[in-house]
Amino acid sequence: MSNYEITAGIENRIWSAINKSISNNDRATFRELLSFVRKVTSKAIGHDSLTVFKQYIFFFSRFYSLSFSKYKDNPSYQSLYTDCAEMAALHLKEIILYEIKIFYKPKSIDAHEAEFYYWGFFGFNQLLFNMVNNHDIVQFEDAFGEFSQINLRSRDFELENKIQVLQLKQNTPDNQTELQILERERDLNIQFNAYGRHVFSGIKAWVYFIFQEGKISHEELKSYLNQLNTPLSFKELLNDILYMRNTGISQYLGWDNWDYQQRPNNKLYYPPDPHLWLTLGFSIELIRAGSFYVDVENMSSEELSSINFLYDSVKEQVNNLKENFEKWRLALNINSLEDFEVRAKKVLDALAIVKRQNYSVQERTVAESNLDADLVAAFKLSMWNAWERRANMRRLFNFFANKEEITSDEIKLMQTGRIIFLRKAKVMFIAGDYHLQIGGTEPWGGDLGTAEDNLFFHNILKGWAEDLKESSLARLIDSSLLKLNNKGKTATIILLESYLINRDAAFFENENYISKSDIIDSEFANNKSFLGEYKGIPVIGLTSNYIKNKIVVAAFDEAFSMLYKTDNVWYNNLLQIDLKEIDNEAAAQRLLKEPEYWKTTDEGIELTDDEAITMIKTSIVLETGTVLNFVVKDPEAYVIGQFHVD
Amino acid sequence: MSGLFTFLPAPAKSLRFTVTLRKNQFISLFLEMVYLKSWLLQKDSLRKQAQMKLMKNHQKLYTGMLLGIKNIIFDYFTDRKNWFVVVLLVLSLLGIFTFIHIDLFAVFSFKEGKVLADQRTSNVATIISMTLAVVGLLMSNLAIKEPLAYSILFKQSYLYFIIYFTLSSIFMLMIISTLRDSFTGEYEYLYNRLVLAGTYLALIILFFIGHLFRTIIKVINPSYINKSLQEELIKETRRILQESLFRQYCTKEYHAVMKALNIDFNSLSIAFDVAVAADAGEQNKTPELKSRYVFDININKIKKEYSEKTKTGKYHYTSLVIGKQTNEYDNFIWDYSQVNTDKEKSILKSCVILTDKELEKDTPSTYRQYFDQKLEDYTQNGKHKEVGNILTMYLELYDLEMQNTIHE
Repeated sequence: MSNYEITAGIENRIWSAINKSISNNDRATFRELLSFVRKVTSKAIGHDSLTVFKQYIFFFSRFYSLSFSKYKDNPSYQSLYTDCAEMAALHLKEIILYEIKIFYKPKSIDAHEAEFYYWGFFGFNQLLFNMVNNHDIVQFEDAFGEFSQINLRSRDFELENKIQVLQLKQNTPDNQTELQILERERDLNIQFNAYGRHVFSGIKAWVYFIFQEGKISHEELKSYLNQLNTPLSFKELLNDILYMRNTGISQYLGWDNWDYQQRPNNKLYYPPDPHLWLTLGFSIELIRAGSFYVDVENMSSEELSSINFLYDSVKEQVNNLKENFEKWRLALNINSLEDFEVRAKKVLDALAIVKRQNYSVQERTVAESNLDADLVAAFKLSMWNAWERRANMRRLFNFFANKEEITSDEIKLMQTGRIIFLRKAKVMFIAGDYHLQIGGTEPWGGDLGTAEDNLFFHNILKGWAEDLKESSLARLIDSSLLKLNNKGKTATIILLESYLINRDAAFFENENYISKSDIIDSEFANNKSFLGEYKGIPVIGLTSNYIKNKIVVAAFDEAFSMLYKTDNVWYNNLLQIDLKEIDNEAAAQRLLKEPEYWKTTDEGIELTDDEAITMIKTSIVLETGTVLNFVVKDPEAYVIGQFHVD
Repeated sequence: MSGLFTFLPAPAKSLRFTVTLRKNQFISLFLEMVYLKSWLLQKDSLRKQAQMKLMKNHQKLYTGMLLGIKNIIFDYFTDRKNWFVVVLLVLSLLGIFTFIHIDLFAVFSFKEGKVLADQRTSNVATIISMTLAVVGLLMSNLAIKEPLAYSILFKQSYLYFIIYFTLSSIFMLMIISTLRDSFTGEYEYLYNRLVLAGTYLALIILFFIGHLFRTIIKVINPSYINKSLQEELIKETRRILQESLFRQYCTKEYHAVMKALNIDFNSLSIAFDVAVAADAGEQNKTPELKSRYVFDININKIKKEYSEKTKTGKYHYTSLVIGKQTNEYDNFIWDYSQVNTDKEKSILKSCVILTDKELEKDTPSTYRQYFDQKLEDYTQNGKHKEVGNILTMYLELYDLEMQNTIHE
């Protein structure tokens, strides 16, 4: 519908007219145009038309810049330029301070007042930035004077009182609506103050930044700082820096477009990262302030969690400052490096405490949470799957059915598996905000399977004569088969190290060997370690260290047997997987064993015993295992051969 | 097809005729008046619904019905291209005057009448030369010599109309004068009447010339021309706004109807599903429909057909904006993952009124362009008062636009 917008393109016409009037040094026409711009913004506010407001609010900073560049080339533009600069600041102030309040008529509870304020401040922000970038200290002083007048809206205690009174009153619909309106006004005030503060902090941080980059002299920095001297509380600073550092708002107030140099052509180029210079400003502010009081009670968990990253960035900035201390000495108002280090340490310690507090809240919650049944079940299932995949021998015994469940305690079986102390890993098993998926748990189940395989080979290799050696796999299998035949047994399986089959390439060519992919149907088709058939006997490839360079040819069901135990508390009655939370006693013991690890944080903060125990309790103990043994029923029913390379 | 008939008293074909002649405002106005009664009584039409909303919510945009009709008629007659209408008008006036008999004037004999015919012819010829002289004077005295100012002058003085009228009159009189010997016997009185009618025409022309003179006095003053130009700008803006709002209301109304019927607006994936279903099914048999323009939508019929169906099935729809060129007009509502049957298609098709002629898309913004250019010139030359005047108008445009937005 763009061709139906009756005002489309007027703003461009107006801008080109302003451009022309400034180029012509024509103040009368410029004033006409300026008053038009002002009137349109008022109308836009009155009619709740944010689109039009956005089109015109940046005109002020733009015509200032234009007039400045004209003045720089030709001093005869001076009076026009002064006019432009003063008018820009004055009008922006009036728009933000009066017009939105007077003209805007909120139609409903979710009106756009705050957005008008935001764009108004955005416009002013751009003006101040342009002035700093032009090294225009004189006009900056003037403009900032206007800005300070806006920034004076203080906390409205009367309003807060009214809200409190209403909240205590009965819940009638009338009261409710009035309360809503008042609360809205209060929120708007808070928002208004925040925008003002952000513009202020942003400009200040930018001044520090271009000083660091060597774009302004020390004197210039000083005169800017003389203007930008409103003190902010540590809490406000911290809140603001956390808000500004939130990655989602990098376009906030146009900071991502700020730059102090012409962008080079034909080159990949990034303007300065707002996060970086805003943090620099924050760090310097803290060091200059010297003392502050930390109160994190009212912070949201999101803000608290971003403090961790803030700590690291501030640390980096502080190190930077330390390296260039001579340059910063006067700006920081600190005489000696020692003094600087004392202050810097104080800042970092304070932040570390905030970070620590954040952690202790998190740790306490984690330590006190119960394990989530679904997460535990999912974990157990993944352990089971991994174990099942790797327990090759158990699969064979299941297949040949030469297994025996032991119920009596008299027959001693072997215990595979282990107990693992998982440091700070309880987060894996609790639901809620702090849940965290930790990778790399897969092998624990698989290792268990491998342990069983190892046990099997360990048992059957006992008393092996090492008499059969060949350098060709086919010949080795043939002679093993022959040997077994001579004992009157028929081979039902060939086990070998899966790597062997690749070492002897000739084996593939052997006419007796059929690879798995060429076999249409086999009982072993679902077995992952099944490689193929040799003379009709299934070949199973394994990776256990015990079977390195060896083959086992066996009448499987006659030769071996698997004895195992079951327990109805184990997973599928076979696999023991227990997750045990750590109680206070166990935690205390652990603390005695590893005091350094638990009592000092990465930032060097000493924890109390209680805190350390809470931290230990964010760990969890994992017990896994199976109970079984493999026995050789008939030592004559299998033959072991060694592949031997000369 | 019954829906179409209830919707319009005449068959669809004649409607298309109306649409084809839409540019010809006069004829379409006439036809609209013929249909007005039936049109006012029914509420099926999407256009009608939108128009009603527009008139109700944005009364300030309308100057009043009678004034609007007057403007349309005047604009039509004073248009440079419509000379034949003026000729017809003169001819019919001549006819009317011939048959209206005023005793007071009909006292001369046939012989005198023949002389009178020549005299009137020369009278009117003199008047023509006077007229042309006046036009020359007008042109040379125009305060602002701009093409747009001329067009305003021509429009306000009805110049084209007057010239065409005068030329047609002299043409008629010359014919009458030439035919003097063809009227004999009992037809002699008719000739006298014709001469008399020619005289009346000449008298009327005198008033027109008077009007031309009056206009000269006005256009010598530049502020008058500026004021007229500004008025034209506001008029133009109103027209564009009306058109824009009308289209917005149409779209809004269409979506509102679908929402009330619990039919969902389609997303891309659903459209894709249907495309797949269409490929797989027997859809291929039916050839693709010819693209046509949507003129109107019978929303009551859609409501009637789908209010029951949507209670059981989940339906989706595509946007069908007025003026949109589409060949989906038999397939704009469908059940999820199901192809519309031929019956459903014919129902859907009967809910849409189509036309082959493209509806007017752009409303020219001649006056905006003129003032944009003026703003540039005035700033270049530092005429700040004139700049101020233009800016005041632009403010008015912003006012108009901001006051006439559709709030969700």
